[in-house]
Order: sequence, then C-alpha cells, then structure tokens
Amino acid sequence: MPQAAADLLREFDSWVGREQKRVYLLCLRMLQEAEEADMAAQDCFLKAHRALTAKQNIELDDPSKWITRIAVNTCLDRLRSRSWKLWRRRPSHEDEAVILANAAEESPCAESQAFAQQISARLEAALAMLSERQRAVFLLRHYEDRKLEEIAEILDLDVGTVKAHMARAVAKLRLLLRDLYGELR
Amino acid sequence: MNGNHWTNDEVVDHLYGVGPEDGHERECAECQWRIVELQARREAAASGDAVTAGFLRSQRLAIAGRIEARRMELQAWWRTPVWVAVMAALALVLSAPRPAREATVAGGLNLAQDAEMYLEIYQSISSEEPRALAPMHGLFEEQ
Repeated sequence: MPQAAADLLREFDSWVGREQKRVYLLCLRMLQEAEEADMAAQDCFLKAHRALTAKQNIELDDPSKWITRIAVNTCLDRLRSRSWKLWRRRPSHEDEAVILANAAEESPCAESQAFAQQISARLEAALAMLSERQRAVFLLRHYEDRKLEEIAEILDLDVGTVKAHMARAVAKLRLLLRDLYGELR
Repeated sequence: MNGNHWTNDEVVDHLYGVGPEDGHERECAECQWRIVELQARREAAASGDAVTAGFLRSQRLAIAGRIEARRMELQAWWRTPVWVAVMAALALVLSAPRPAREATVAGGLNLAQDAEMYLEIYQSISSEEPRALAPMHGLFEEQ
C-alpha cells in the first residue's frame, strides 16, 4: 500500500517493530552469521531513516518491498566486501559432521517440527554453497513466498534472470540435499 | 512427467516458480495435493527460526541509539563548519593583496592611453590632407 515518506517517518518506531523480525531473518539467512545479521538489520533501518528524512515529500509504493530491497542490497554489499569474506566463518568440520549425522538419522515423526528444524539446518548449510544472487532469489521465494516478478523488482533484475538464478539454485540445492529430499518422496 | 503425473522434481520446481508450464497442476487433483503438502512442509520449515522478544527489543534500542547518535553528529557537523567558514572568510578579506588591485587600475590606464594613440594613428592615416599643412589652417581661421 502506498505511503508518504513523512507519515512513515512519523511512525518509524512502530514500522521497525512490524518489519524488524522479517528483515533480521532475511539478513541472517543471507549472511549466516547472527552478529553480522544483527548489524546488517540495524544498518537497513538506519539507511531507511536517512532516506525518509532526506526525501519526506516522496511516496513509497510498498514500504515492505522497499525495506526488503534495502536489506538484500545491504547483505550483498557485506558479502561482497573483501574483509567480510576474509573473516567470514563457515561452519566448522565438527558442526558439519553433526548436521550430516542428524540428517542421516531416521526421524521418528516425519511431520514433526523437529524434522522441519532438521531441514532448516541442512538448508542453511546448503545455502552457503549458492552464489549471492542465487541465495537472495531463493530466500525471497522460500521464506517470504514472493512472486518471481516481485523478486525481480526488489533485486532490480529481469524476470528471466531471476528465473535462471532460481532454476540454478533449486538444481544445486536438490543435489546438495538429495538424501533429505529422498525422504519427501 | 512421470506417466500421467509430475515427477517430484517438477513439483518442487513448480513450488519455486520454475516448473513446467503445461497447466497439469490445474487438471490433476493428485499433483495439486502434492503441491499443497510440499507447500505446507516448506512453510513449517520456514517458520522454524525463533527470534526472542528480548533480542528484538535490544535491536530496536540499538537502532534508536544509532539514529540519535547520527542526529547529534550531524548537528555538531553543522555548527563547526559555519564557525570555521566565517573565520576563513574574514581571514581572506583581511589578507586580500592590495598591490594586485593597484595593478589592475594601472592596467586600465594603460589600456586607455593605447586606445588614444591608436585613434591618432588612424586619423593621420585616413586623412587625405598632408600632416605638414595642418598649422596653415590657423592662418585662415577667423579670430
């Protein structure tokens, strides 16, 4: 729903409250590091506040989509940063072993939340294997259930490009999660 | 297609918007059900991340703190340069090099003299009367 920047600025705190969890989780899934995701989420709202203060007379078509775009770009910037890549921590071999061991175990109840958590843990590890763009495209679809057209708008890409990224991401994840994926059959 | 139905890969592809576009899901009840089931699993997996209210509260406080810090920083930034700019302008005015101004005036005078000289040369060249006859005019002028 369109909203004037001045109005959004006036109710900035409550808007942050409404969007904060979604933005933080998106950053967490993109960056896969809690502390980094916390800083990135804060940066997103700071950037939004700065933009709203500078251009109070504009109208935003969809503030939710706007903050999502800021979040994705903030995360892509962080991922691209050399220092971030240098210090970026991948899961240790021990953690990966635990994840794989859990995945290999037979789930007592396939429908349970535990199974969902298991998938989440595996998916998180697999997401690290995707390129930045593929990850962004996949996350916006998987966790936010956004249409490809919306994703294209958020990432400023053609729908065809988004489709190509998505197809590659799904193919790669299918390969990486083949054992889990087999249980869904 | 696996027989009359989509394969599991095709169902997953469809869920992510890159599946076959043959409209099969609209005609086949079984594949529709498989899509719904997988969608439910995806939603369950997606909602698995728990973020505590305490964490969100402290993050909101941090955001508010950083916005306030930036506001203060901007205010300080505005105050300092105005003061510095005033002092710099004053220093510039006081230290303005006066000789440069005189040189400009002198330059202006030189230009005026040059123009006068060129005018005289032009008049003497363009006149048909020889220059030596000019004093003779005085003899015939009425007193």
